[in-house]
Amino acid sequence: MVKKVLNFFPTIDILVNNAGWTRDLLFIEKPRSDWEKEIAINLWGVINCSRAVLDVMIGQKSGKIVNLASDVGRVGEYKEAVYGACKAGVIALGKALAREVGRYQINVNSVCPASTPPVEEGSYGEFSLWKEMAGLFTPEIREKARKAYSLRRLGTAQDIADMVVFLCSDRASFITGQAISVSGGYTMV
Amino acid sequence: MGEFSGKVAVVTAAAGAGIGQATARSLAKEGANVVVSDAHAKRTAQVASEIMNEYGVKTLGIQCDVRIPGQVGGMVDQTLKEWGRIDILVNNAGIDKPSPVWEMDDESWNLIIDTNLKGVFNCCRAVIPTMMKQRYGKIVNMSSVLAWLGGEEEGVAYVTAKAGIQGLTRAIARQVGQFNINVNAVAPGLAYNPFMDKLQPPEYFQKIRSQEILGRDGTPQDMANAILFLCSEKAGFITGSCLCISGGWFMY
Repeated sequence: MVKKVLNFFPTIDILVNNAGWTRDLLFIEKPRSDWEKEIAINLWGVINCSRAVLDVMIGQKSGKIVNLASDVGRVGEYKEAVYGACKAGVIALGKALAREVGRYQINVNSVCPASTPPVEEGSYGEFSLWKEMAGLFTPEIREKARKAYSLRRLGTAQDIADMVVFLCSDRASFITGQAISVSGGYTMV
Repeated sequence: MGEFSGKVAVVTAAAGAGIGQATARSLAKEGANVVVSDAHAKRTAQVASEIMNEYGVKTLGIQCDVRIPGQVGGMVDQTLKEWGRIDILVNNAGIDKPSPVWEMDDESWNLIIDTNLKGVFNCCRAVIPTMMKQRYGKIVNMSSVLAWLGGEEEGVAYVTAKAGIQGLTRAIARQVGQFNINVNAVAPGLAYNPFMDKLQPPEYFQKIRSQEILGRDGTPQDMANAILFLCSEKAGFITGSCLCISGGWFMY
């Protein structure tokens, strides 16, 4: 992927590690194959992509990496044990990389959303985790969930994207190694 | 049209050399009408008129000691009388008198806690009823990396107040989220301005610089950029958060 990008563009300025996957099940009920898929996508995915672009960014002496972590990685959550462990790992990975590559003017940060359900059925891709999970968000559940947030609404993909873009901008050039919650007051960590 | 056109913003301690004035100017540049609040009468009037002339927005220079609820109330009343609303409150006022714990007297402790912590409470309490009526408001409070790290050279009261601000921010955020009011904190590392050289010796800054992994000091503008983001519609789903801006000095 990185080679292909460099065939078309001279630089890679920004990497957003967004790919992620989970399936809500109690730890003791979840098959090992699900854990392995979670670790492969949520943790190895971020390691692989970060490793692949860092040579380029170090050569450029500039770059922005933003990882999509999760509030789950900070406070833990039912039925998301290994997923949460991966997200906690992503936060720590981001901090370690920030320390190692700060001298090359590369900023590495993580954004921690709470639940960001799709706005409507079908507004997600074929491989999306929401293919299995979207059915859980009935209007009643949405209404109940809404009240758990200080701002009395659920997050949207755009809420998260706005923070990612801010962190990639020059306006955030002094911010690195941080995990920042965009979660409507869900955790307030 | 700027991002904050038509909005009314109150920034405390906005007439000094640091984060407050940078924030007031950045908001004005994006079209906000700004209350330049500061404890120093002359500088307050001067900075308010500079910002008005430079950015073509309306400004009010209001002398206010945030420790005194009557003065804070007067500032809010005057703002409402002039402009009828308050959309943004940036609680920037702060003070430190560095001394070791065993030498800190009651007077210093009270001055620092009253200014840094109670001042934030005073301003929030005075402004929030207006924001509740509007069903709209953005509040940003100034914490510090020292809230997590402690400070060997800084005053214990200062560190305590900055940690308290994080708790106050979460407490208020929980209570006012239902009125569409976002309350967040930023935790700066070193936001260097030349005035600081009068407060601390060169070694103090060298020690911090060895921790700044991006290899440069923060500036008041770095902090203002983050404050503006938190006050913008783009940060509408962020509340009760603390955004640390320290060039990697501390990683929250």
